[in-house]
Amino acid sequence: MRRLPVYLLVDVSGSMHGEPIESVKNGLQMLVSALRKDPQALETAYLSVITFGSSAQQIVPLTELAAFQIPEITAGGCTVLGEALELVCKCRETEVTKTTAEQKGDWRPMVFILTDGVPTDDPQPGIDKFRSMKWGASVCCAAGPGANKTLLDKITPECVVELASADQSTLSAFFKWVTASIVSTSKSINESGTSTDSMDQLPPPPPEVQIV
Amino acid sequence: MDIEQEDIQNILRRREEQKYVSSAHHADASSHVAENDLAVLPGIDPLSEIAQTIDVGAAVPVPDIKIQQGGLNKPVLDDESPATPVTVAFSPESTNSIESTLPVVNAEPGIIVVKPEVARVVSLPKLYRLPNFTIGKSSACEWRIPEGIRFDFDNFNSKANNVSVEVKDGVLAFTPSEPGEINVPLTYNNGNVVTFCMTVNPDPWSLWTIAPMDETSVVFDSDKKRLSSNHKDVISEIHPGLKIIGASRRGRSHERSGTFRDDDMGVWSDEARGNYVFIVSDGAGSCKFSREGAKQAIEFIKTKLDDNKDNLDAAWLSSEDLKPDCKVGMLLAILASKAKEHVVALAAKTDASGTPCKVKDFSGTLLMAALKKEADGSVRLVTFTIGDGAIAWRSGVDDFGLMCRPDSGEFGGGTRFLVTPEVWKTVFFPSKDIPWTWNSFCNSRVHCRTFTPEEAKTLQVFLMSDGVSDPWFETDAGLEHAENWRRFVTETLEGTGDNQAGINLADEPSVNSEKLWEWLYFRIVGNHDDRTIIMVYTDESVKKEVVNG
Repeated sequence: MRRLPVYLLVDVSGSMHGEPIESVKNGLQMLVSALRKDPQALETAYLSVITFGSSAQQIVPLTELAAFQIPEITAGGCTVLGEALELVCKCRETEVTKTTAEQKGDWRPMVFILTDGVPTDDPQPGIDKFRSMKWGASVCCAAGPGANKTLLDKITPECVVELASADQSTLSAFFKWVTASIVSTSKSINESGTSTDSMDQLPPPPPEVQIV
Repeated sequence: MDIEQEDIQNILRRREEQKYVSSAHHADASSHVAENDLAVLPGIDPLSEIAQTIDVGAAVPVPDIKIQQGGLNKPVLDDESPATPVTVAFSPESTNSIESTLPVVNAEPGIIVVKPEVARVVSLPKLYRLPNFTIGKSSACEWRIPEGIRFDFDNFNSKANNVSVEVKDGVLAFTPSEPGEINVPLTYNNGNVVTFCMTVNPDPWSLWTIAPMDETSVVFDSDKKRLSSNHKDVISEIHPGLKIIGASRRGRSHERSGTFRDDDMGVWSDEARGNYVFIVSDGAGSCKFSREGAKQAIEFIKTKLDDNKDNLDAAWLSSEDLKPDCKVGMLLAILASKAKEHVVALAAKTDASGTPCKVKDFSGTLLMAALKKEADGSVRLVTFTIGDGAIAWRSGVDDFGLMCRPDSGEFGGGTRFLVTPEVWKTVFFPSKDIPWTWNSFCNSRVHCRTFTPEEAKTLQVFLMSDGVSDPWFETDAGLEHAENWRRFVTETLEGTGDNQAGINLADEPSVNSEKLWEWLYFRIVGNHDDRTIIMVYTDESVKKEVVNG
């Protein structure tokens, strides 16, 4: 059974405290509930949540949708985006099955990175590591005006989206789009046996989510 | 520094909200709970600010509550306890709260240290988040009831909660019946209430609905035929010494989206001369007219075979080459290339008639197998293949051979099709790197095998689209194992269990092809493509199965 791993990297720095982080949790809840109603996503998509504040942590390991439970997320501290990128590479190495002659491995993981600020660590080693691997369709999301879009474009070139603010309705629209992207990718995998590797193969984002 | 009055009030209030199950019986319950992998709903535990995983004896930082020696222990929070317990830790793994009834030792502001001798497990939090439940898949969620406690069923409406609760041998078993989020409050006879929260997933198979067809999408006459035949397609033929059964079924993903079956199959025969050709084509799922591409290619090849009966027989009879069967391989390749031209022309015609399309929209794989039954009882088999799926033969108990080399794409899943231009760059002509020889021809798209009369007696030949080969053989390497083929035939096709076809080769082919069609709805997670299989077998192979059976 070939899984579609989906890594969600969420900024939990101090500036995300309050409404933004609550909206992220609501968004996650919505995402999981919606995906559970889609048979292809339910079978194929596996979710992991990595948070980065003062440190990067994989708070939910790669988990099938049916067993996924919304984690407790609290915001505070700085923004170690570089560390988070290194962590997602490490998680991929241990969690994602490689294809061999005898076994069909997992599909290339999709990665969604949500941040509202600038990294407080040196992100370059993490970016280099991340870029050395081939990922499925991956998107960086600049949530609000404080995010460094130029830097995000180095992580996922041509695949950066922007939210005017990190409020409930905007983040909700973002998570709906992430949901639709996972649904369409799992459909493509199941029906035509091909994965989506770039953003233009994903559904068009809603007005709240602007392509940079 | 004293603990703030406000903090005490907060704790008092939270403590009031939290009702504990009798401590005396908790140890039992908690150990069972732990086995069931229960975890508390984060954020609902009233003392969750200081709840975290600790080892007994470990130092625990408590960031948000100010504590100093004697601080939290001293205030009387609860009249019933002489030394007020302080819940200092909660371990999601064990689901045990650890309370210390003695002064917390070595406490510093922000730090609690629990010594083994003062820590004991005493409490159950009020709310439990149970592991997610999946209807039709999970077994009942069970929980051993602490001794001496009974549940108050009078106050529990199982219908309203969409969950049936049973108590048997001291074990409480929940079985939810509807998907959603459920909260099951259960009242103990001692008045305590414990609420179990659970996410209930729908039965995954119930999500595979069958959507009505969009009849406005019908462009071709053969689409209309498929629509009227409700996608059911079976073949059963009896020839001298040879039986043919086949079935092709629309995949669940197409059922759900209300789209057509893209697979197709065909059998052509010249019984008088013992010549047969079997064809399977799998239209590419992502291409809008691939169903028509597959159908048209097969029908075209069958028509051309009718026109070339003599040529086919002559190719079989030809012995000018060291590999006479290759003449047949060449003929199959030519037929395929003509079918490609036919599909290309069809695409152009369709486009010109106002339905915009490209040749690629008609993409489909092609599996062809020509079989010659000789007068002396021997059988020759020549195949020509483009794309994935499989052709294989079995003879005797474990003799088998794969008669194709699947065109697997670089990233797995990607494949080649009849109309893929690169395919035709090397079939008839040398390419830049590969000189054209009979050998190279035979080792790529063409495979030949001659079976002695003895081997031919128990011969079985299979053609299948990847909708069948993927779930049962998984990889190209899996197709190479004789053991996989033995199991596929003796268990999957002949077995009578779940997901097994239950065919008996001694039965009428029409009965078996119906069984094949029913079986093609098998449930294997992650495999919902169209499924097509053709099986050819000799009378002798039937007798042998009966003897063995």
